[in-house]
Amino acid sequence: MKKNSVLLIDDDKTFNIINRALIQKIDPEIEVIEFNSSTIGLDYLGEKLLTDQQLPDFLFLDIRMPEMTGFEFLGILTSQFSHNKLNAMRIFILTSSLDVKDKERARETGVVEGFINKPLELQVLDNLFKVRSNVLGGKTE
Amino acid sequence: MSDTEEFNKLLAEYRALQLRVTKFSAVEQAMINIRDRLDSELDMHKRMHTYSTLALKCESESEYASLTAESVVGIFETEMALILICKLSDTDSYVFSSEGGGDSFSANNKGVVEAVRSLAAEHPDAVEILREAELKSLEPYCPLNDALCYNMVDSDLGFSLTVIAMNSAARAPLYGNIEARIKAIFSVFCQQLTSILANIIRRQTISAQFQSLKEASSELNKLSLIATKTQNCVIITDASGKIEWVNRAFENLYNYQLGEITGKLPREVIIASDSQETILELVKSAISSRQTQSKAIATYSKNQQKFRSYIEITPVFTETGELLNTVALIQDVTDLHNYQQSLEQKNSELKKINSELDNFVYSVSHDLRSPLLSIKGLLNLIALDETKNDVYLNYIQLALASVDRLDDTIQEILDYSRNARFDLNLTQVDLRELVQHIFEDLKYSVEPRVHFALDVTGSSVITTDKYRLETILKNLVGNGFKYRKPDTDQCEVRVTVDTTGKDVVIAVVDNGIGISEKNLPRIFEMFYRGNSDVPGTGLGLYICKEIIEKLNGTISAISEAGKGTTIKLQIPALTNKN
Repeated sequence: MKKNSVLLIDDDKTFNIINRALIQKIDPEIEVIEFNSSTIGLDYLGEKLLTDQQLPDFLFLDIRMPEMTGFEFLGILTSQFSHNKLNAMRIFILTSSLDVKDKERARETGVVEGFINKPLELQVLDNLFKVRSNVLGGKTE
Repeated sequence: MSDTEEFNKLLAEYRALQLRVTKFSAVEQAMINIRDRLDSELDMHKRMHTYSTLALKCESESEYASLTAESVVGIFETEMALILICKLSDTDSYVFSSEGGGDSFSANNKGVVEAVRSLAAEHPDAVEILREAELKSLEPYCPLNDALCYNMVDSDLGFSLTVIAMNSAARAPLYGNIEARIKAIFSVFCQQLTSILANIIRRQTISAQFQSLKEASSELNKLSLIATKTQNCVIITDASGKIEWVNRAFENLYNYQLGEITGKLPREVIIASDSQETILELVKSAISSRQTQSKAIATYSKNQQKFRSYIEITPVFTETGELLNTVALIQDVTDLHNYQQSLEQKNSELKKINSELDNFVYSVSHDLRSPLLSIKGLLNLIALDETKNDVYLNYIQLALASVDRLDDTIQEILDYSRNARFDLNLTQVDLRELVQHIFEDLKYSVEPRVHFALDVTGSSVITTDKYRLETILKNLVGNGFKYRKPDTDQCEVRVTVDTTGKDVVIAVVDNGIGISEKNLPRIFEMFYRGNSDVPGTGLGLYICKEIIEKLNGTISAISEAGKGTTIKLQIPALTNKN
């Protein structure tokens, strides 16, 4: 069986550490790839998409990052690649933003499955892994 | 000579005499006839003279018209007469008068006027006698036998005059036919009455001009009185733009005496050289548009004191449209200007502060919370590992509760400041969607044993401020969850929406721990907390109340300790203006 993989993109290393720990508590076999730079994260995903390699199963993406915000990141992805292709990866916004407009924007991208407030909790993560939800109503299967 | 001869001779003489008598009486009769005719003509001339005397005294066309109609009937002994005076420049403007025709030729009857006009147009020759066949156009009003018709147009004075004197055998059989000989007298008479009318019209024009002149001069008197007394500065220039007069206020403010600036151009006296072109343009535009033009501009006194001035330039024209004067009214608005500038400065400072505040709100929501949330994440992690040591676990739980409380406070202060600072933003909102999202958000962190439900009566789409309503409902649904009974599996939070009435009614109903009767009246107070077991800031319901007031609605609570709480929102149903 193929190992599940999760991609974490957050400029705050602490969150990446927390999230990695939580993920591996649920399943130590899950591969966790983390970047604390949105541009490097984009390069990584871009190469996978261009060369038709297997995408990570999950992407947890922060919004407010230097270099490039989460929305700019998704904007580039959706303008370059089809939703169909991106749908191979379940994308979640993981943010400390309370701004309802950010949630609205996440929905409008059409590729984000969920909008989760930090910090990620074990139970929430466990639910996510088990059930594919359509929380934002924007994701097309 | 025999008797017979004698008799015959006498008889012949008698016959001759008789013949002579007969001849003589015929001559006598003819002479009588002539005398009568002369008498009647003399009478006619007398009456015409009387008419002229009266008509010359007429002050208006209508007075003239009714006198003339009356006189025509009297002088020419016709049954009826009509007078129509029309203004050439305006076909709707006319004076009509009739005599002897009664209601048939009423001045209110527009049809009669039109018929007279068309009759006049058919017979443009000055004087004519018209017979029955030519009078068909007037027949609908009265069948006519014959008529004297006079028609003339004075293009200099801009009027036309039509006089018709007529008989109707049907109505008055005793009147004879109009005799041809009368035509000459009628013609003379009509020329006379035309010149009288021209006289009246000329007199009227002159008196109107005189009146407007009188008004203008009294207006000018009033204006100069005001100009002398006013606190504002006034400059009057002649047609070439040179100063003719300034008022006392001008002399005082600008330190000039009238004598030293008379004949100069105002712009060279009080305007800086680089703005003279601007003021010249303003004067030109006032003159060409014939309207007051105004501008704010700097002016200078004799000793170079600078004033912020508001200048109004009004051109004054003569009756014939020539430029007579230009009046400049100058208000010193230096104080106003300074005030306005400081206001503008304050406004821009305020805008800056506002945008800084916006940034601050955003920064707080991200940067301030971010480290707090990473602490929370780390504490969660430690708690997951430290399951063996109860003491540490307890400390961690306490630390987590503190973090949560601080985070709640930050969130609520943000909500409060958003509500206070931002304007209402009304859009179409689907309540069903909105409430479902709130449920879903909670479901990530909520144990599945709380049951969420939504009932909608009527359309679920309303017009409101989405983010404000969402903040309220998040708070209320969150409360319903937070204050659930800890020891049961039957926890429920139900949202009901009814949009069928005048107001939109939303209720959030829970079967949780409820609020005691003692505490219930105070729950909407700032920082009030009814329960010290459950963490909270005491701001949630206070903020809900603040927000609902912004939405022009009301919030109320029904609760019973141990049974549950219902919070009811009522907001006026709006129609979206977009």
